[in-house]
Amino acid sequence: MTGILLALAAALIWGMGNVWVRLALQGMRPTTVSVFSLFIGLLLLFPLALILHWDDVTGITGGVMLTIFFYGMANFLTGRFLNYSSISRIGLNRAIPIVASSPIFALILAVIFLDESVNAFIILGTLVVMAGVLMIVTERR
Amino acid sequence: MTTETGRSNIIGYLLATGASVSYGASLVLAKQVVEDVPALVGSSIGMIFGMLVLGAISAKDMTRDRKASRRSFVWAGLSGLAAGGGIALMFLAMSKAPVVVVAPMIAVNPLTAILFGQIFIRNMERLTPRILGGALLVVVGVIIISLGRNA
Repeated sequence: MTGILLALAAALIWGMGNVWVRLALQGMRPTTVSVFSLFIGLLLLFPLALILHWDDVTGITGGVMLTIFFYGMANFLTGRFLNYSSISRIGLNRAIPIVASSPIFALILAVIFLDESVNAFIILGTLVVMAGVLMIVTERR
Repeated sequence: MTTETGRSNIIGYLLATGASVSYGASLVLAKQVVEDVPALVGSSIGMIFGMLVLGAISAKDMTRDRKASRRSFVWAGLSGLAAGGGIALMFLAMSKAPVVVVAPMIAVNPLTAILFGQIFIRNMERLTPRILGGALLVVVGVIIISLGRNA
């Protein structure tokens, strides 16, 4: 039960965070909002990482650091910047559901690079997500 | 719909799709990262790289925005706290419950964004039954995929 409540709290906080992003974008460029939000988020997360996992932080090898670098580029550079830019252009209600379809792309890449298998559930879920995205992008303003 | 608005919408949809592809790639890379280091460590260091590179690329934009209102900085700061806090809560949730339980709960975040948008910035965000229906389908589809991947 605790795990479910924590996960729901994360979803609620992210939801509210997107509203704050929308408000910040009224007076700032997406790049600035992205960098500033990353900086503030780091102030919260990095000390936690150091306190809880000091040995892991100091023991990271070059190869692992390279993987983390690419992860950081995909998630926090292009992902966050494009996400905020899309909110700035088409608003929260239309941008966020499209951005949330990322598990489909994760799946495609996992099938290609990690030999992950696909089952009927996954095909059904992908079709449902695509139908949802199609409904949003064909909405006339 | 004017041509200008139409073009801006198409660009917006392409940017959102680009973000989705990037986040998708990051999910695959994250799977590799957490095999070697705790997720919190990988995320924090990944954030440092992302912030430094984006900061270097967009230094000119940030210089122009230094005169933005204090309120804009407060909203941006709160969004950063929410993003970081959400990540911390998600990892905590995963330490208390299996991914198959946590992932569907996390997947509802587009709906919470729409809900809070309607509560706090209704004048800025237009919600139609079609957009809400589309968002619901995306959330249900993502939950089905996460259940399928963990089956």
